[in-house]
Amino acid sequence: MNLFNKCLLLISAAILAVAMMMTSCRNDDSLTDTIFGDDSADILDPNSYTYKLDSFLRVEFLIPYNVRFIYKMEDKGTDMNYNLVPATYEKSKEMAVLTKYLWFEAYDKIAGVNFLKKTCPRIIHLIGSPAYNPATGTELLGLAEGGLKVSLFKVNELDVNNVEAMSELFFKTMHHEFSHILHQTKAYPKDFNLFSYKDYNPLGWQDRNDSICFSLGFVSPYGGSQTREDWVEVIANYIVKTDKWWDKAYEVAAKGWIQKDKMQPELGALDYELIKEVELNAQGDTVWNADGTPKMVEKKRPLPDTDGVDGAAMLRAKLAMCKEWLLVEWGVDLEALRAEVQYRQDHINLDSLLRQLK
Amino acid sequence: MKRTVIILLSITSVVLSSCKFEEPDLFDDSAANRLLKAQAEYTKILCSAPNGWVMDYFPNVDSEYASTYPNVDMSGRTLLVKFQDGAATLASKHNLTGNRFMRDTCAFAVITDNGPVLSFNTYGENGLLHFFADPGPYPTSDELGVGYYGDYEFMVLNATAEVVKLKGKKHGTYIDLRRLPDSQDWESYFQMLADKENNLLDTRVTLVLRRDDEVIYTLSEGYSHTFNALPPGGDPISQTTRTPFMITDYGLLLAKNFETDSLKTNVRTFRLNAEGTKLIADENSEYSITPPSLDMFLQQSTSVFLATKENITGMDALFDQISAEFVSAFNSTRALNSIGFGKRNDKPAMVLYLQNGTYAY
Repeated sequence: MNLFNKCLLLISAAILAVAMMMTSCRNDDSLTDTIFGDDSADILDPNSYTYKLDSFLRVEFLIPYNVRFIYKMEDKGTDMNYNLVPATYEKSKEMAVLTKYLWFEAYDKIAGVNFLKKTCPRIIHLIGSPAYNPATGTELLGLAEGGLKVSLFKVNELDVNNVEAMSELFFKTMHHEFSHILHQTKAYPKDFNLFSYKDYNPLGWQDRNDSICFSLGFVSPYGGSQTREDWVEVIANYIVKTDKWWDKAYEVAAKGWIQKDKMQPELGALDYELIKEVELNAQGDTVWNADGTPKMVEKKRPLPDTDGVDGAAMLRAKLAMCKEWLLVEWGVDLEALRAEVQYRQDHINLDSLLRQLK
Repeated sequence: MKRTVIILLSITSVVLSSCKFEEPDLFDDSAANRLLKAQAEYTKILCSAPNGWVMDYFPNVDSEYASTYPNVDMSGRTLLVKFQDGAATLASKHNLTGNRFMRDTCAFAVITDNGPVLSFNTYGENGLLHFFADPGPYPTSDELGVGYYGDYEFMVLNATAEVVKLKGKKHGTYIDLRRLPDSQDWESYFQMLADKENNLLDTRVTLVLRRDDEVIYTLSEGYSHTFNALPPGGDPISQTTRTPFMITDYGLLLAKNFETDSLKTNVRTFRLNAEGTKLIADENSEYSITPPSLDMFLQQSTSVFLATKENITGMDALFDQISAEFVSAFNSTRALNSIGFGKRNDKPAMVLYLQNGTYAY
């Protein structure tokens, strides 16, 4: 390469460099004012219709736990395939104070104040209606997403005068969804998968009666849908259900059952079959009809437990594994937590709780 | 060869430097800031009406829904709504409130969704609005999670001090908020609507939709707030179009434009003329809803045509004369309200109707 060519190359390179600098020297991207710097949105208006609840949620959930308790429904935070409506303001107030009393304060007391600060969902979202699944005839009562968010449905049906229904619909759901959050953070033991892997029915769980489920070692029909639901159902049901309920569950689980109607579990199940036997008198002799045939009587014969599962033992084993996991992984004593929650369930004074909303 | 490469390189660099991709801004501010401004502006407008707004609410106009649930009453309802301090105060009176005047309160906010959205974000204690968005199990008596398929969140399309144009976020119904006069008492407003309805709708009269003088549809069963629209001579089974509507302070509002093969035009809003004799389409005034002609009425065997001072022009004097003579002759304490023309034994007949209340015949 002669000198001329070298010079030409250098000049070309210089022009290219300048051109590149010129194109990058663009001063049109100045940013506008930040939309996040102004914290006025966090200042509550004392004249606002919802000020009492908003300030309660700020003081009791947002500041101590960094939890957004959303009762003004944000449908973009829901599955838009469902038709859903918001909760009423009154029911939202009730749910807020009950959530604090039955969930947060109970865990704080048993597991320490830092436990929920670390583990609780960052968003609790109230939804007034159920989410219907018409294809299966089921309703969604709660949803836990990504360890961060719990949605509670059907809030407009909250009835504080019916503790049993309230516990089943809402507070069991709270513990259920929170247990999802916990296992989404630290996985439950793989051995749990081995308990019932043959009997889960993800699509038809709703068609199995409670008794059938107990006998298979599931604590509820939904627990029989898949492993992770089984896991959290055991914990949630243990927290909110009494010893009496569990004793009955063990008793039912030890028997054999047949559902009255395969597609209508609500019609119940039978633990016996009707058979006809020759009637015997007190001496053990056959009783005869006038026409000379033996008199037959209808009797109930207990059904054999043919599902191949010792339901009661299975339930106990699952519960034991849940207890150990909570204690070892999270330092939570399930028995103590259960006693605390059930004491609180039995001593709900809603008027007193609502007085916290000043 | 090298020289060629160098020359090409030089030319390329010149071309590159000329690629100035600065484009003029379409908007004078960022999308986020404009959205925040719209949020503040629309909130201010909504709260600026001291006596609130008239909300012409239709649950939905979804054709598939209508065909799936043909018996569900999808007519529109009037809601009055006032916005203040994060609360929406509502009132309504219709068949689903037991025709009782009811008030309701819920929270509201203009939220920044994909655009400004007016959200009634807590369920009112009496559910005057949210009832229509609730998944049920009413009104379809099943648990499909459908309900009336109505909205409680609305995209704000445009807002002025007089009218706020909304579109249901999920089900897409167009709904207007019209500013209510400051002095209008809310309960009286619904009484005025009831009076207007009594004047416009009658179980015995099948209205007609005309284009100028041509009858386009007969509109039967208007008393149910859903017209059964049938073209003249059409087959009632296959050609009837069900069209929900609502009575408004100015006249009548259809759930949506008539959309059939024979009529594809923008006729949705009908305003009662000064004489109170016909409802004239706002945007295509050749269309109007009127009572049927007497000839047409007499072809119908099931109803009675009512001639009143209001709907038959030129009869005032005759009507007053008959009424006075009637009252005098029978020493009646009741006024003559209307003269009905109907059929009796398949022959035209004229009947005098007395009225004490609106429909006490």
